[in-house]
Amino acid sequence: MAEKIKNRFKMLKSPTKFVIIGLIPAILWYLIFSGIPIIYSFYLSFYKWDFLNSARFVGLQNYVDVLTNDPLFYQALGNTFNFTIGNVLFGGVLAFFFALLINRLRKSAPVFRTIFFLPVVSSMAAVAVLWRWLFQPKFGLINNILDLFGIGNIMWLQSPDTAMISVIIVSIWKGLGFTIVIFLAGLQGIPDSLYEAAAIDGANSWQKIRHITVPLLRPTIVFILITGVIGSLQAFTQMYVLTKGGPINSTLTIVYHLYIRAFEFFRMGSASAMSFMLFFIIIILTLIQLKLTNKKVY
Amino acid sequence: MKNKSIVFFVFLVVFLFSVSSLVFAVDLTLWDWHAPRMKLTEKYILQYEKLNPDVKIDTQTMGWDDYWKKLMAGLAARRVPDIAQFHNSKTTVFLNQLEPYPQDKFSVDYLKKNVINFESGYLFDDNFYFYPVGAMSSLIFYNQNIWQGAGLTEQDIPQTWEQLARLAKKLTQYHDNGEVKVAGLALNGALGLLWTDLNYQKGGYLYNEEGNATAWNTEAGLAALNFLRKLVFEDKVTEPGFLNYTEAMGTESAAMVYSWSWMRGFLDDNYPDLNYGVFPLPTFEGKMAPGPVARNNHETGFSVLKPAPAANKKAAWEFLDWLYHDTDYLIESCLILALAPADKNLWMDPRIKSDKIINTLVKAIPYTVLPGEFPAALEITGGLKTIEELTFNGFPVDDTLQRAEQEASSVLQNRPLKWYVEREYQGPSK
Repeated sequence: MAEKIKNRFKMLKSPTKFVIIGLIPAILWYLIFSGIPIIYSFYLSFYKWDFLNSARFVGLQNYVDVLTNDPLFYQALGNTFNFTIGNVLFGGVLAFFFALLINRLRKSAPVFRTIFFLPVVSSMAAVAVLWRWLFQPKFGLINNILDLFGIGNIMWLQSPDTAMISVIIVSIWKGLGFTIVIFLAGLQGIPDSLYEAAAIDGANSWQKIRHITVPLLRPTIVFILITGVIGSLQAFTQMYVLTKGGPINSTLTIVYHLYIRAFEFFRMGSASAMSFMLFFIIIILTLIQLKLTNKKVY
Repeated sequence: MKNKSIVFFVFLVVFLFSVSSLVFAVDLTLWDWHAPRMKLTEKYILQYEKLNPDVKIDTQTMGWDDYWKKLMAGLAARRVPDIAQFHNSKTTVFLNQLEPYPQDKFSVDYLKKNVINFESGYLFDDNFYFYPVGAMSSLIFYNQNIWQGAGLTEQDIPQTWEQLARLAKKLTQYHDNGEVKVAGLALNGALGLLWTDLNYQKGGYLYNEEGNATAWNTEAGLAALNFLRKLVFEDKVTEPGFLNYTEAMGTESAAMVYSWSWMRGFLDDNYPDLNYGVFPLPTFEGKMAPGPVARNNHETGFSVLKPAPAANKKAAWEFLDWLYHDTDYLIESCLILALAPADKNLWMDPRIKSDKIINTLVKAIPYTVLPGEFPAALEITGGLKTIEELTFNGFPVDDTLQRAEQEASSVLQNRPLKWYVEREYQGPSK
């Protein structure tokens, strides 16, 4: 008996076997809760199915319908790209700026890191209630502060001109802490000796950032860019809780649009087709980003 | 020794399961999305279980969105509750999955005679699938403190929209910069809903005769929207970006708001000290007849689902027979949900008569129209929401209705309706 147990432990000493055994629960989890639904959803994208009646094979009809017979799809696609650009670009730059500041505050860095990380762990639904009040045009804090500077009433979530900007602001605020932590990890991996050598050579702060920090942070920037773009293209919760895709569909994103198709209209085939079109868009954009950034990563 | 313990444990579990199934001959499941109503139902379930110790009813409450997704997924997997609360906005999608009410237990003749909108709202091929509990419609809620402050009494309750507009103007308070401080009539969040009522008052309909598209961009629709635009932009009784009507009423930032009667629950739960009253919707001519003056909708009751096992269905009907023939349950449900009881015989009940909101609703409800199915997608994600958004963003009325109609018709294309009955409205005689 003891020999048997000993042999089993020996088996675990082999790193490959240990890794495989350790990964089994995660693989099973992924297969059951992600892999199978993804495959089934791809299968559904070739069928017409409303949950209750049996599915009918329609070939590529769902894809053709989305592309040729759904004007909202293109509006949603445009909105999704606008959101992605705003969220990733401004969110990334802001996070980089705050990460640089926090990195300089050696002692109080954990305090600020925690403060910035708080929104990340907050519930989006709860946060949305707060932001809806902040954005309230007549009684909201933001307009009341802007009023002190003579800036007129902004109809944040109520106007199609500003609704997407408002949603981007909330999204950046919500995700900033996470991006800051990633940047901080990257910044802490840059040796001080490089900055010291640059200082001896007479480099100012801007030159240090431009010629040392940014180039050495490229792997981090690529990671943030790719994960940010993937996440932003799938934006849903912010729109669901803040604007319901309005006003006048100005914040309707692809995922929100397909959610309506699936769970309001019960058109599962069409929604699945749309989700796979988004999937291919994400794949293509990710490959382009990897191609563009691959050679420049140090 | 260890193996023996495991065997004993397994045996014990099996034994307990067997015993529990002997104790409860029937174990029913019941779902609802409305927590206060479920609390009431649970009170009655306890009574029923005492009277019928062989029946156990497990309840589950979940949010509105989750409820319908889970029910849909459950139906696809044929794993459903035996009894499920039903909402008539889901009729087209779910009707085929519901069992008809057994007419030996529930007399259709009685219901036809005594329940408002029963024939148009409940009967499908001579069967009905969800129980008529009560009807809801719109009212004007007013803040009694603000009214008294302006020297107004119940005698000043307006009968016409022009009177209401004058009153709202009088009650609106402005900041020094001309912005609205207290709205005379807050419509923000409810403008689309009020438009449907005004559209009916002007002789319009929601759907075309075939029921496959909306009929909004019409003379009646335009007149209704013009009146609303005048209220907002000329009379300035509210303004774009003002508080949502529920918040405006609760925080005493509105002298009057338009709302469906359900707001009573919201106000009483969140603003228990608020001193408010209600009056029926005014009309353009100052009289309710011949109507319709507004849209109504019915809060329907429980349904029994087709995939449930036969024994459970039988027990479910027995329970519903007991529950719905108890007028106390129906009245208490109406009090919780602020409904006019569907059964007209209950309108004279002292509890209904003494409830200021339901009593007002009861007087107005015969002049309201049940349009048939009104999917949430027309109200919340498109259609009426678009009317409000475009109006507050200053779009011209014809453009607004054209775009809203396009959107609403696209909703109906994606989700066709089987049930539209608004053109059957015949006024209080029915």
